[in-house]
Parts: sequence; C-alpha cells; structure tokens
Amino acid sequence: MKRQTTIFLLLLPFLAVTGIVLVSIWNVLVQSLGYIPAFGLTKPTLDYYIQVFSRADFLSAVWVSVRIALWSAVFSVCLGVLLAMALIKCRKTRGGMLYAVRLPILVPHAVVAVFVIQILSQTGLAARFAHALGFLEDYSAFPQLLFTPSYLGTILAYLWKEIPFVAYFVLAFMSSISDTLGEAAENLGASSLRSFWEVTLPLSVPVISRAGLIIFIFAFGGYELPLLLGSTLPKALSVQTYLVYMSPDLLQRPLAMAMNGVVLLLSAGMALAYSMVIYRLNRKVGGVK
Amino acid sequence: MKKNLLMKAVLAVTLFCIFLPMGVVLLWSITERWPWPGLLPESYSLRTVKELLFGSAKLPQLLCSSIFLALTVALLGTAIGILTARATELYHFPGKKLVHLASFLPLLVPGTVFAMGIQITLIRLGLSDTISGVVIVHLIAAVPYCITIMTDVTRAVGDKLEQQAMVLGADPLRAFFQVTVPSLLPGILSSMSMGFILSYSQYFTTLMVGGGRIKTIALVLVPYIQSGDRALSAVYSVAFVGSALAVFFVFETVIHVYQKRGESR
Amino acid sequence: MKLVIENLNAGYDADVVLQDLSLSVEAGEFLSLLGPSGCGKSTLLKTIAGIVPAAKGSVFLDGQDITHLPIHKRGTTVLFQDIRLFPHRSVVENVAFPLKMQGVPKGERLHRAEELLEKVQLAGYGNRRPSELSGGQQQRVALARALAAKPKLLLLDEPFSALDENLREDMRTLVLQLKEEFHMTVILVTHDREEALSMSDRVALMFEGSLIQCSTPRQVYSHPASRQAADYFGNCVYIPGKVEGGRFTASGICFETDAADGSYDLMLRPGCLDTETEGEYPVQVERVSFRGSDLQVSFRASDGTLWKKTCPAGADWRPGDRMKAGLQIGEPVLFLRNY
Repeated sequence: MKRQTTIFLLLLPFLAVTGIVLVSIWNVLVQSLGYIPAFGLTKPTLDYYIQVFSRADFLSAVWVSVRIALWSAVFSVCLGVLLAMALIKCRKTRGGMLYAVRLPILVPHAVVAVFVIQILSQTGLAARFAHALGFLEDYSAFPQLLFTPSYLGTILAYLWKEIPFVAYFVLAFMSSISDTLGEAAENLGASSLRSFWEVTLPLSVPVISRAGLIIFIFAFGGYELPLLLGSTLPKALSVQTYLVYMSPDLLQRPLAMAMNGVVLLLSAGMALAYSMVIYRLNRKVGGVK
Repeated sequence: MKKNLLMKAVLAVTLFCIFLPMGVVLLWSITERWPWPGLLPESYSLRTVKELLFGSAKLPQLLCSSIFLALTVALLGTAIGILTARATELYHFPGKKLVHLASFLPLLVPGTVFAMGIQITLIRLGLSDTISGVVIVHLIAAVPYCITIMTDVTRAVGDKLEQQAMVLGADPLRAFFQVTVPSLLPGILSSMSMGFILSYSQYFTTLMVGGGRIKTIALVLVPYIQSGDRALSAVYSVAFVGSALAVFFVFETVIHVYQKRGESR
Repeated sequence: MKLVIENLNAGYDADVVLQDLSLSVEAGEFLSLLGPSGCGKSTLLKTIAGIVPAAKGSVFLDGQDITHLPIHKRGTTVLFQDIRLFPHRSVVENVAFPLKMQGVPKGERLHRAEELLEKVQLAGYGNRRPSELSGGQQQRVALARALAAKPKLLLLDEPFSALDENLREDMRTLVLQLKEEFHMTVILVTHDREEALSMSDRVALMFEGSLIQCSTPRQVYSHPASRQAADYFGNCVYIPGKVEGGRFTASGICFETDAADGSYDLMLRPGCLDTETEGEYPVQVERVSFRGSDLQVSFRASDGTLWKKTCPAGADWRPGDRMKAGLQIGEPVLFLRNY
C-alpha cells in the first residue's frame, strides 16, 4: 500500500498538468458543440462545424496553416538531419559548434520575425546586397517575400529555428547509431554514404519522425510568426480563430471553438499517423531500440 | 575526404545563417540612420538603448519580471519532471505506458487552442489575468520537455547510489537530496534551461491568459514589430535574446563548475 | 595475407595511444594482442581497420599501403565485442549485407548467406530477427556476416568476453575451425591470458601503447621479456641473488650464466617447485584451499618467497607441513635489479 501511495504522490503534479490539458480540450469540444450556458447556449449541435466548413475564409486559413506546417516540417527534418550528419561526420557532437547550433532554439519566435524582416524585406540586407552587386536598381524590384499569401517569410522563420532544433533533437541518437552500427556497416564494405542510408537513417526514423511531428503541430497552431510575417488575407488558422474568438459578438464564440476543434482533430490525426509509423517500425525491428 | 569537405561546407553555411541575422540586429540596435541602399548604417547612436534602459519604458523592470516568471516556470516544470521521472523509471505500476504517452499530450495540442480552451476555466477559478494563471499555462508548454530530459537522466542515474546511501544509514529524503540530486544536477539544469526558454518566449498564452495586464518582454516586442519600427524592435530583440543568453550562461557555468569538481574528486 | 605495420602512431584527438609501433603478421597466422585494459590493443585493431586514423606511420596489407584507405575499402573486417547486428534486418539479411555492398544480386547473396549460416550452425534461423536470438547465436551470426565480407584480415575485438564460459569455448573452437577452412589471417584482441595462449600461433604483449614482446605462446610465458611481462601472467616467484664471474648464486641455488655481474632476481613459475622429490629447498605449507578438481597449496620458502602451486585434489597437505623440495630451473630467466 505504501508503495502505491508513493507512486501516486510522485505522479500527482503530472496528473494535475494532464488534467488541465484535458479540461482545456473538453472545453473546446463542448463549446464547439454550442454548449455555453453563460451565453444562454444550452443545446448541443453540430451546426457550428457545418457553418465553419462553409466559410471560405476558414477553408483558406486551414490550407494556409497546413501548408506552413507541412513545408516547415519537411524542410526542417531534411535539412536538420543533414546538419546532424555533418556534425557527426566532422566530429563536432560537443563543444563550441554545438552551442552555436543550440542558439536558434533559444531565440524566441518574435525575435526570429525581426531577423527575417531585417534581412529579407524589400529594404532588407539581402536586397541591399543585390543592389550593391548591381542586380537591381531599386528596392521595389526585389521580390516580395514577406507578408504574401505564400507565407514564405513565415516558413523561412520556422526553418531558421527548427532546422537546428531537429539537428539537436536527433543528434545524440543518430551519433550513437553511427558510432556503432554505422561503423560496423562501413567495416563490412559500405561507403560512408551507403552506411548512412542503409543503417543509420532507417534506424533513426522514430526519433526523426517525432521531431517532425512536434514541428508540424507547433507550426500548424503557431501564432506569432504568421501574424508578423504573413499576409492580411488569407490569414493563418490560429490568427483567424483568435479574431473570431475575440469578436464582440459572443455568439461567434462556438464558431471559434469549432475551428479549434478542427485543429485538434488534425493534430490528433497527425499523432495517430506518427504512432502507426512507430508501431510498424517496432514490429519490424522486433522491439529493439 | 571529399565528403568531409561537403559536410564542413554544411557547417559553415549553418554558422553563417545563425550568426548573420544576430549581427544585423545588433547593428540595428545601435543605428541612428541606415537608409537604403547602404550596406552599413550611416550613423550610430546609443540613444534608443539609453532611452529604453533609463527612460519611461522601464526595460530593466520588464526584463526582471519576465526572467522571474520564466525561472518560476522552469523550477516548477523541473520539479514535476523529477517526480514524474522517478515514478516511471524507479517503480513498476500498471498504466506506466499511459503516463509516458500522456506526457507528450501538451505537445499535441497547439498553444493557441489550449489557451482559448482553458480560458473559461481560469476565469471561473479567478486565475485569469493573474500571474498564477500565466504560470500555469506556461508550465503546460514546458512540462513535456522537462519530463523527457529528467526521464533520460533518471534512467541513467538509477537508484543504486541512493540505496547504497540508505544502507549506510541515510533516511530516504536525505539519501535523495545528498546522493541523487547531485547526480541529477546536469539534467536538472538542462531541464531548467528548456523550461526557462519555453516560458520566456511564450506570446499567445500570455496575451490570452494575462489579459494584457501581465506584461512580458515578448508581449511588448510584438507591437513594435507590427508597427515596423526597426530600431526599437532591434533593441528589444537584443535585450530579449541577451537576457536569455545571460541566464543560460549562468546555468552552463554551474554545470561546468560542477562537472569539473566531479572530475577532480 | 601478410600485414606489416611500421612506426605507427595513433590515438583519439590529442590523446596519443599508440607510439611508434611496428608489427608484422604472416599470411594465415593467428596472432593475439594481449594486454591489460587501456593498453591500446583495441586502438591498434581499430587503426588497422581504419576506424581510428593513423597519425604517423604506415599499415601495409599484402604489400599495399592501406594507411589512408577509407574503412570500407580495406578488406579488414572486425568482429566487435558488442556484436552490432543490424536490428532492422533479418538474420540472413545481416549476413548478406557485405555481399549487397559488393553488388551481388539478391538471389545469389541470400543463397550464400544461408550457406554461411550453416557454417556457424545456424541453418534455418535466417528469417528471424537478431533480437530473437541468444547472445551466443548473435555472435555466431556476426561471425558469419564478417566471413561474408571475405576479409583479407579478420580482426576479433574481444568477441568472446560477453559470452558465458561454456559458449565461449564453443565459439573459440568454431573460430579456429573456420580460420583453417577459409585460410584466413586473424588478429585477436583479448585480455584473457589463457585464451591468447591457447588459440594463437603468436602472442603480442602490449603495455601502455607499446609492444613489449611478440613471440610464440610458450616463449612469451616461459621467457618473458620484462618483469612487467612476467607479472602479467601472474604467479611469478622472484628469488633475489647475485651474478659474479658468470655464476648466479642465491640461497640454495647456483648455476652458470652469461649475464653480466650485478644483483638479479631469478624468475620462476610455481611449476618449477618440485614437491614430489626430495631436494635442497626448504618450504613450509602455509595454506591449503580446496578448489573442486584440485588443491591450491601455498608454500612459504625459508627465503621468504611464496609459491602458489596447484596439486591433485587427493594430495594430503596440511598447514604447517615442512619439507625440502626440489627446484627445476630449466632455462633460467634473470631480471636485473635496479632498485
């Protein structure tokens, strides 16, 4: 009995945290079904979901956010793994170089927005260099990269932060695989590249896809970067949702929550896809980590 | 050898991309005039910096309160990490896998959705627009990382030394603080770093739950970016990143000194 | 395939582990690198395989300079202590891996992998996952996989130390048998003295990054090159004495030698103490420990030296027994005393 009490006490704060998250999810779902007694709404209905899906601004917002999340996740994963591999091959898995790579993880998103603006805006440093090299006459000739519906600026900002994140996230695992099994593969006649492709990469898929999942969901629901670097229309889903949420018309509240509900659903779908990948891999590898 | 050259190029490009924007922001923060198409500012001045440091903007107070808030979150998050990791790594109980899965839950719920969802509950509990409310929502963002880090170190440290201490006559609490905590220290500090930075860079959750009454540096910076004031947003950015790095430097120094001491023993 | 190492220096970063090491291994030879942990024997093996880069010196295999060749082009295959099977591939795919790297078509390589599995007595295990096998089976798969690479030189990095005592013996026999069958040159890194002595054609003894002695097992054991080498095999007895005019004298011992004049220690092994026949060397039994198949009897000589001798279990020794034993010195080993 005493042991069980200990375990319970140790887990209590964690359970409280999990409880808060679950309550939040519950609130979102309940309100999205139109149940907010404080506003006089007491009849559960799916109307708000139907309404939400008939709104063009919502659909384009979903599309914007999915695109931001997908490109950010795909490119940060590919380039982050490349960076991790470069760190491993150059034997820089600790010390100064690693501190430099960790730096972007520590920089807040809002500051990354400042970086992107100062370098890639039409009067930014990149445009100035292009001018100095004689590629363009005036700043208006520099391509509009920021504040456009393509959300390129937002994606680039995410990449600046998340490529190092992926590298740092997968580094320890990949370097331990590369130092043992990768080395064995080279010893058995595989070139450095081949050993990476045949052994290190496939065995690192779980940790790499976990990094990708974290980034996808984060970028999908992220607020500051699409707000600061995106276009006024279409808006990203989080920005759009907050706008509806803050609307003076309180009856818009369930609509905002239905939008949140869709975000939750998509996130859950991604998490499910991830766990299916992991499950199949584990079965293939036979449960060995 | 040719391949290593390619890999070195990757590292060089990475370093360039990391440090270039930081240098540019640093330059902007001491710029008076930098008109198009100059590659360097036309004139420099410390006016903006001085104004923010000593003027009515009260940047130092803002930084202190933001750091204090973030350290609180880091400390609480790490404490939760230590306790949870202890339960899952040193004990066997049914539902352990579920705890492991649930610890990733906050990562699967985007911060915006979570904040809008929890708001009504916080209002009901009287925690909306309060520091405690903000601490709670920041904590949710930090806890998954703290738990992951503490789980890894707890697994590595185990309870062998603690048992040894108890066999030698230490009561469980003393055995934990005298033997286990020092071994966990590097992990504790990296968990605190992570918790700190997650809280320090929160924007949306603070905006939502703090209701504009709880001001952090992230909250103050965003409107300046939106207004397009490059000099001001540069100074705030430098202060933001600089103060975070200062806190990290303290953490890293502690780890370093501690590990040095461990080696010389 | 003949291996020649000349003035090799190697190590990790600034930490030089090997210093000016030279060694040659004949084709078809079985050489053991023996030494305490940290002596650099594993580093030497990894430098031969190209895993640790050589800072100075050269490595030649069959006359070809392979010092700066990348790992996968060397033809030196390591059997690692920690086995290192690829967990995401089946047993047969693991064995076929080197063949795949060589571009052997799928059908043929799987067929050859199955044949190799038969050689290591694992026929029929091909479709299992490595994690489904026992430690001994995994090590045999790793051996088959190493053989599939058709190594010019097989490098064994303490591959038996993680196995149970019984399995270890089987594995040693298997390795020796396959070495004959495939006419391979083999280098074994080990800290197990008996393993090195019993398996090898020659034993290379290493201390602190240098080769102390490289010779046949008998020679290394009975004629150690230094006191350190002698002590590594343990159980040495040193009898202090003097050489004057070509004669070594100690209490009760006297023989001709060509050593120069000076103070020496005569090194003897417990086997030199002959308790069966009456001699000139007075000893007293100090301790008798029963070890199952035999007894270990500690004899204290009148000159203070302690001899730990293995005797048949039936022998009737009791602490306190005194006798005059004989000494079979054979070819004496003398170490100059410099303290």
